[in-house]
This record gives sequence, C-alpha cells and structure tokens, in this order.
Amino acid sequence: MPDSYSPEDEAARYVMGGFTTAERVEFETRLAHSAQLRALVRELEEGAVALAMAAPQKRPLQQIWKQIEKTVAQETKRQKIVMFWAGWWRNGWAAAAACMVGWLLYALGMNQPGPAVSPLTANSEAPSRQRITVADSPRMKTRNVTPQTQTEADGANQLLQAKMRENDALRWQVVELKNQMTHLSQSVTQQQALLMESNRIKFFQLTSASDGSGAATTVQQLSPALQRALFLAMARELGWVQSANPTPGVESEGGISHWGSTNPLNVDFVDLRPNTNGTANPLQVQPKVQTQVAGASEPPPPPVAPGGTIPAFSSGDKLIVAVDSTIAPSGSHLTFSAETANQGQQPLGTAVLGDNPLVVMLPLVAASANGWTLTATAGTALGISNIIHFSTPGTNNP
Amino acid sequence: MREDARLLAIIADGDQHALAALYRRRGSLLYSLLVRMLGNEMEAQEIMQDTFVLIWRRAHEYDSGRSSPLAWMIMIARGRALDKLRARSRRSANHAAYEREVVSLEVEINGSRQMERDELAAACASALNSLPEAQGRALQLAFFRGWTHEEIACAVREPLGTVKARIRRGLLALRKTLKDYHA
Repeated sequence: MPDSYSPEDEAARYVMGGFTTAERVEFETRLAHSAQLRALVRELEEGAVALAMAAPQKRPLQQIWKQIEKTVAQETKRQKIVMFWAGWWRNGWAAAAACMVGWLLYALGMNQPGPAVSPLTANSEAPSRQRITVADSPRMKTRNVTPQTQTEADGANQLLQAKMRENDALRWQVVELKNQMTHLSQSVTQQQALLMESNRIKFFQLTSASDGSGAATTVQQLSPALQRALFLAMARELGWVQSANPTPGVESEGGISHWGSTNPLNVDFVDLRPNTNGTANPLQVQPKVQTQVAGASEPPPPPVAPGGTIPAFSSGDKLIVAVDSTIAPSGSHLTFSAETANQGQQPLGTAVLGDNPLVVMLPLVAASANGWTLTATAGTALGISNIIHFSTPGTNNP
Repeated sequence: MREDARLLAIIADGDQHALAALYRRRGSLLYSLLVRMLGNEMEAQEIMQDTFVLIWRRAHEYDSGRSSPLAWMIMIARGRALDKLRARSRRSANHAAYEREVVSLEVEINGSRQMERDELAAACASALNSLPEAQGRALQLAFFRGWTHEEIACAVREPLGTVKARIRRGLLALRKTLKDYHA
C-alpha cells in the first residue's frame, strides 16, 4: 500500500472496495485494533448507505425470494447433517466406533495366518495349528531386523507359506481320496451283504466245461429263445405270470415234481427239487416235451456243438437253469448232479431236452464250508458231454 | 437499524423466517443498488440471490461495533456486484469512457425521478444531486461502477489526492443528510 495514503484515504478505499484481498485483510487487522480507524470507516459507510438509498428504487421479483428460500433450505438440511455428525463426534461415539473398527482390523489381521486350511482336513487339525505357528514365527522374528534382512526374511516367509499351501492342497486331495475309498468299500460291503440274502435273485452265467481242460472259454451271446425262456422263468418266480400248478398225477414217486409242462409260450419247465420230505432220490423224469409231429417233413435243426453260455439264477433255495439246443442237441438227456466235500456226488435228476428251451429248477445244496459243485451232462447217441461244471465257494471264502 | 440487527442475530441462529423478514425490509434497497450498479436486471437478480445466501451464511460474523447492519449488507451486495462488473471486461480508464459512464448514470437518475420514492430515499437522492458536479460524478463512478481513485484521476486528468478528497467529502456529506434525517 502506498505510503501517501492517509487513514482517511485508506478508510475511503476500504468502503469503496478499492483494496485487493491481501490489502483488505491487512486493513481489517488494523481496523480491529484501531478505534479511530473504525470510526472513520463507520462514517464513510453511512455515507455509502445514503448513496445506495439514492439509487432509483426497484422491486425484486417474487421468484428471487423463492430461489433464495430453496437454496437456504437445502443448506439448512446439509448443515443439520453436518451438525449431527459433529455432535456424534463430540459425544465420543466416533471415538468408540474408531476403537471398534481398529479392534476388528487388529483381530482380522491376527487371524490371517496365510495358508488356507480346507475344512476336510479337520482330522489333521493339530498339524495345521503347528503349521500356522511355523508360518508366523519368521514374521515375528523379522520385526526387529534391518530393512534388507527384513526383505529377505519376507521372501523366505512367502516361499514357506507357498509351500505350506501346496502341502495343504495335497493333503486335502489325499483326504478326499481316502473318503472316496471308504465310500466304495462301504458300497462293496453293502452289495456283498445284499448278495448273501437268500431271498434275493442272483444271476449267473454258467459256462460249459465239456473238455474239462480248464481252458478259458469264450462267453457267447445267449440265443433269443434262451433269453425268452429265462425271462419267463423269472416272471414265474416273481409271480408276474401264473405258473401251472404241478399236477398231482405227474408227481413222481420219488418226490420229484413235474414243475410244469410245455405251455403256450413253448418253453418247457422241469423241477428237479426233492419234495418236502427231504428225499432226493435220483429219478429220471421225462418232461412233456412238445414234439413237432406236424413238422416231420421239416428237417430237424442241426446239432449245435456244446459250449454255449448257460444262463441261471438263484432264488431262495432254488437254482434255475435254462438250456436249449444251442447248449446241447435236441433230444439230449440232461443229467444234473451236485457234489460236496462231505456227501460226495449226489444225482439231482434227469430231463430230456426237446425242441423248446428247457428251464430246470434245481435245489441249492446247503452251503458248506468247502462249497459245492454242480455238474450237468448231456447224453446223446454220440456220447456224453459236460455242459455245466459250476463250483461255488465255501462259506469260509468271502 | 435496530430491527435489522435483531433480525441478523436471529438469522445467525438459523431462523429462516428472520431472513424472510429482513428480505422484506431491505430487499428492495439492495436490489435497487444492484440494478443501479449492474444496469442489468437479470444479473441483478442473480447477485441478489447470492447476497441473501451470503447474509444467511455470514450472519454470525456481523459485528455491530464495526458497522451498521445495513452498511454491512450493502457492502456484501456491492462486493458481489463489483466482482461481476470486473468479470465483464477490462475497462479503459480514459476520458471518453468516463463521459459515457457519466451520461449513463445521468439518464438513470433522470428516468427514476418520476418513480415513487420514500422520504429517506428522496432525501438521499436530493443530497446526491446537490453535490458539486465533479464530486457527484466521481462518487457515483467509484460507488456504482467500481472505478478506482486512480482510474478516475487518470480519466479526468486531475491529481489523485483531489479525487480522493472529493470522494471522501462526498460520502461524508451524504452521511450528514442521513444523520439529519434521523435526527
């Protein structure tokens, strides 16, 4: 400010707005400490009021006040919000909240050791806790070392934690595999228990052993007639199809019942089980074989070499076997016998294979410790051949 | 004046009704001043809003020991209007510009003579018109147009001290009119 300005001039400049911001601030500082200067300013301001009053009068529009009112209302709203938070801060709630947040951050930080532990490793909880201690300990040790050592220690710590995480992942996979193995083992045990139940139907594929050499035989596909015969036998066993009651007249004197006869489905049924008195006399039973008299002019089917797969299933105390011309030539005499270690070989009965598939119901020999063997032979004019040689394991062999 | 001071105190406590009352009392005066300064009603309305919002915000800063309430409000309004005037363009402080401004001020004064005035305003206008011509022109150019003492001195080609004295004495003369009226 020029030195030539007197207090009166400065006061006039102040009132007329001739100061820069810095000059005005400096002048107001002096004004606060000078009553004389304040008196000068006040006199000139009153002159300025008179000058303002000398201006031609204008009436402001109503819109101006509405706009002012709206702006002030918004500011009041904002101010109330600020006042609320300021009061909240002054009352100590903010300090309490800050402490709470700090404590939470501290707690979270302390509970963040690094390697994630799978919930499945709950069985190895103790080793996990040991790992956490190991992972944390280098970090704790490096707090009071130089920055370079600190960097190296941090790198080693990160490597260690990465290895730990890898180890945890492998451990988790091992545990998962163990769980899967346990589940599979339980399933197998369950299936075995189900198989041991006598009232359940169990299926077999019996292979012929005509040569007795024990060489591996090829499992052949069942003929459609044989499949049909087996399904019909299953349906009769399960009660889906009304089975023909044994006719009293056909019951043999040895107690071997003629389970059924040739039926409209062209399947022969023979029951070789002993009757209820427990006797199992070997008695040859001649089933009613449906012969094709009318078809005498037709050439007989060519004999098929034995060696096919024989389907069978067991139900309760019965073993049901289905045979047709793919197993043995038509007209063959089928002889069934069972052999156990205690009782030796016992004949079960004989049936003649006609043109229809033959379903034979055999008694299941009581399980013995050493198992038992079922043998069936087919006798033709050409000779006798083994069609079944089936051994069951003993009860000592699970 | 006492009522203005009371209203400012209430406004400082956040009472919007007091602000409305102050607007009713002094709105016309401040708006007239702004129109006189800016010569544009649209800009005057804008600065009028700013002025009352500033009064609302700064009411707690008002010090009755330093200035009257009306002078404090006029200084706020005038300060905003001067900012607006300075933002328009840099004026050339020469004699031609001075003459143009003086002519525009005289036209406004003549045009307003037909308007209804209250007694105090008429007394002030009469006091302004009764001032010596050079004094009245310098005072109005400085107060209503924001010309600095130096700019006026340069335009009229007179010493700076002479211009300063004219302006100061003109203000004191008008103050006397106001004081006499209240007396």
